Amino acid sequence: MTAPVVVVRDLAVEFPGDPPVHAVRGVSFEVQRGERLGIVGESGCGKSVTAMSLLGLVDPPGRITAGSITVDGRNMLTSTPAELRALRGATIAMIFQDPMTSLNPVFRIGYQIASVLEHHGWDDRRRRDARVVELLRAVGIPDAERRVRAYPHELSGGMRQRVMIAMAIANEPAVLVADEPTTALDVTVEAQIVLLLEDLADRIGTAVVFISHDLRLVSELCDRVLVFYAGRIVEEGPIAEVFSNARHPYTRTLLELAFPSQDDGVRASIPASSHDVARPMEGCAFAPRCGYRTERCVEEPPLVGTSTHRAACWLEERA
Amino acid sequence: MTVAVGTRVGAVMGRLRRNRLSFLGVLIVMVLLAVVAFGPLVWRLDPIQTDLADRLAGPSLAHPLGTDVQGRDLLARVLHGGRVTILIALASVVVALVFGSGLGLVSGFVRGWFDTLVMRVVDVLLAFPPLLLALVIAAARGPGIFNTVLAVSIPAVPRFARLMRSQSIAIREREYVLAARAVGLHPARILFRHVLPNGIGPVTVQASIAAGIAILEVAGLGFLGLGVQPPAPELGSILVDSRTYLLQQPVAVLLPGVVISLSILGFNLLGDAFGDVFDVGSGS
Amino acid sequence: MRGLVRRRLLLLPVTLFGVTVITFLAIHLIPGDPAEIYAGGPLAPPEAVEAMRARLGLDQPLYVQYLSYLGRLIRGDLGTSLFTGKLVSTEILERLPASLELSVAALIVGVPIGAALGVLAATRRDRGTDHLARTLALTGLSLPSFWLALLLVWLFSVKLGWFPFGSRLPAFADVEARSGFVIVDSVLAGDFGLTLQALRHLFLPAITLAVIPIALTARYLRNAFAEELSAPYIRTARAFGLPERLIVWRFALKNAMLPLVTLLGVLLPALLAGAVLVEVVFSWPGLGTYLLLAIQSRDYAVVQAVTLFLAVAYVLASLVVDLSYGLLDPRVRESQ
Repeated sequence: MTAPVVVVRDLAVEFPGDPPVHAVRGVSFEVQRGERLGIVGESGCGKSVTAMSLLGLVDPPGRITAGSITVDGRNMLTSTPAELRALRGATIAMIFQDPMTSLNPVFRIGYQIASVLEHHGWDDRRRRDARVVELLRAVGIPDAERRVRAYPHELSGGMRQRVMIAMAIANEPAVLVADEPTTALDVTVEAQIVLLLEDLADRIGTAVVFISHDLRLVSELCDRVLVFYAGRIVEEGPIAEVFSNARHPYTRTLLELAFPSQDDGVRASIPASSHDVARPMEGCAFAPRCGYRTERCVEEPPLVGTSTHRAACWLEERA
Repeated sequence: MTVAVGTRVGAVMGRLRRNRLSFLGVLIVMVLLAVVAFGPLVWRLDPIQTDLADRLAGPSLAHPLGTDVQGRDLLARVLHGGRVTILIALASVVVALVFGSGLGLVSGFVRGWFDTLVMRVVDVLLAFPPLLLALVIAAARGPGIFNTVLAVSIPAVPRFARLMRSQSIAIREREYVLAARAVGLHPARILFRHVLPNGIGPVTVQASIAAGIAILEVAGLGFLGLGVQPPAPELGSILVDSRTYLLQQPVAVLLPGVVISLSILGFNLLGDAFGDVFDVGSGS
Repeated sequence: MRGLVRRRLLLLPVTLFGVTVITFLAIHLIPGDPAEIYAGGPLAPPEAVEAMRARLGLDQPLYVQYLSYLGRLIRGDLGTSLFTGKLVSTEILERLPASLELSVAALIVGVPIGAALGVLAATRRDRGTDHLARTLALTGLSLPSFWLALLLVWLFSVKLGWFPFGSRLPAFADVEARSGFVIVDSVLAGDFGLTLQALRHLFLPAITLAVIPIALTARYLRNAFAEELSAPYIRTARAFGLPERLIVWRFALKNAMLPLVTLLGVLLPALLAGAVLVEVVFSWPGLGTYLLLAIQSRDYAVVQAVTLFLAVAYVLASLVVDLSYGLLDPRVRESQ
């Protein structure tokens, strides 16, 4: 078994304030080479912050207060800025949610992709330009040679996202992090983008970390899934298992909302409101909204279960 | 009601204290106004009283800042001069505010031909760089306090008019105004009760900035000999008098300028402070 | 965007028309009788005053006077100077290059310095440097230009003697006026010593006037830049490992600079106004001193004409500024 390409241990990210916001509280996981890992959760659960941390990019004034992140054997937290910059876009790449605002509106897309190439060693201008066209073709943009000179606003949402993907795979990264890549797109385009990601990942052998609040998409693309809630992982395991046999009440709620069943014995309760990140954490964060809560829940449950499928719930302990 | 006001003031003070620069501005303006109001009462020497035996003297007990070329006490000149400059500037702003806002308020509310006419006139007035317009008006009308107020307030009127007009237009479409009209309330009442209080925010910002510009214009006109006439003290005309004796009595040139600069700075910072309080973007 | 442009173009003649009305009326704001003033003052004999009145057409009804005024304007006749007897239009053209030279110098010096300050403040947003830069900029805007001019003259001309003041060239020096711009002409004539002298004369007034563009540019760019730096595409660039310097000075700057053209629109009136006061202090032979001398000698035709000229120039320049903004932004350009 080769070493995992990403190793995260006890990551904690904090945003100062009164009270301070603990966006990520003790998250640990691994990503194997070539694996497709899904991360799901509602807004504010810490999934985007975790993703940014993988690249060593936490929006100031937020800071990583504990834990370690290793990407392709490199310790992201002790690397110098220069080392980090060398990794970003080459070893680990990220695509963002809204391609319109994530691309620079006043530069042509060809130039933007070429910039990424140039700063990772592609010095020869002609090879660079050829590579840009090649990349645009690879992501399925028609008439690539002409489109190189287009500005972002001249392209549709789906095409812009393809451009982002082209930038991301330009240097054949070991890990591709996709933070809600389809949320800003039409439903019809969504499926295409996901297929594209899958196809490219197969061809290049990139591991994909796919972040979304849309469970259907995650179930189509990913092998394993992490369920985030209030800055922690509350369940993790292979997709098929987690989705058919969810062990955490929150996961069950999410599944119920995403795949509503016709006839159902146990109806999961719909949460009244999403988690308030400013609340001080004591015990299980989901307890206030949980239909199965007991007195035990004032204490934070650890992840328990099998070696592949675990959930952070006291209910598990009994099983 | 009082509780609501109290908490509002508390919130304002909190925000001000955090933004130290704006607070400084408010402080400067308040100190300035206090000095202008009370200074001449405390330091009672006559600024116009000449004493040819004691010209261009250095600092002394009798004359803490010395005297100018005609033996007049500099401290008194600066105090009185500051008072004149600032009062004229503020008066001009008030005049412009009242006329401009009134015009803009009505214009935006009634629309139609009146509005179009007013807006064309406003456009034309705005076509002149402000100081130039002030200069021409002052030149045409001649020197003197009234003419200076006229010269400084006229260029400021269009800006207030435009501001209040857009406020008027924006607010008149809001539901409570439509409701008031549907109930048959008299338009004037609607204007005062609903439109005016909401427009206060941007107007205070504009007024502060206009005050700064007005001070500059009054002093500038005085400097060019077109404003307040000697021997009445005015910071700009004091400057031009002292210019020739710069080497012998530098204070006479430094101090009036410092006072002018501080006043303008204070009002600019005040404008920023108002902008923060009322959540308006910073003025140009 | 296109609609806005068209609307502005349509309004232009109306605005210009209004400007002429105001400059026309300005003469009639003067207390006293213009005919009497032109005839020589209160001591002029009544027949001379009446003759002057007829000559100036002041006995005609107001609208007739305005129409003939307008007619003269269209023909390019801006009147005759009471003081020198020359055509005002000629005199304006003679003195225009001096003012332009000063304003352009102030812009060339001021905008880059202001831009650098603004960018610096934006990259250290909300920290010490930012607050300092913003305070300095605001202070710069609060300094009266005529006072600053006096101080600079005192320090650099009188006390240190580094720079001369008064006029554009040393006494008795002259150069063939091909462009009217002394700096350009002396270079064309190959007399570089003279160029240097001209630059020395230009230095202090230009610096004084440059304070305004420095402050305005710094403020403007600091805000525009700070906004750009928090844009999502900046985050993307960082996520792809691009170096910070490239991100700041290339990617963000281009976006922030686009509306810079509107900044010019703000700079223009500030410069025009400030120029008058600065010219006076430095005895710089431009339109400002021309205007002031005319005011002091009650040469109303000149005052009227110069005011008209400056106002029209300002209106046209603002229009050009607004139009060019539409041309520069690729997003806007596309929609045209």
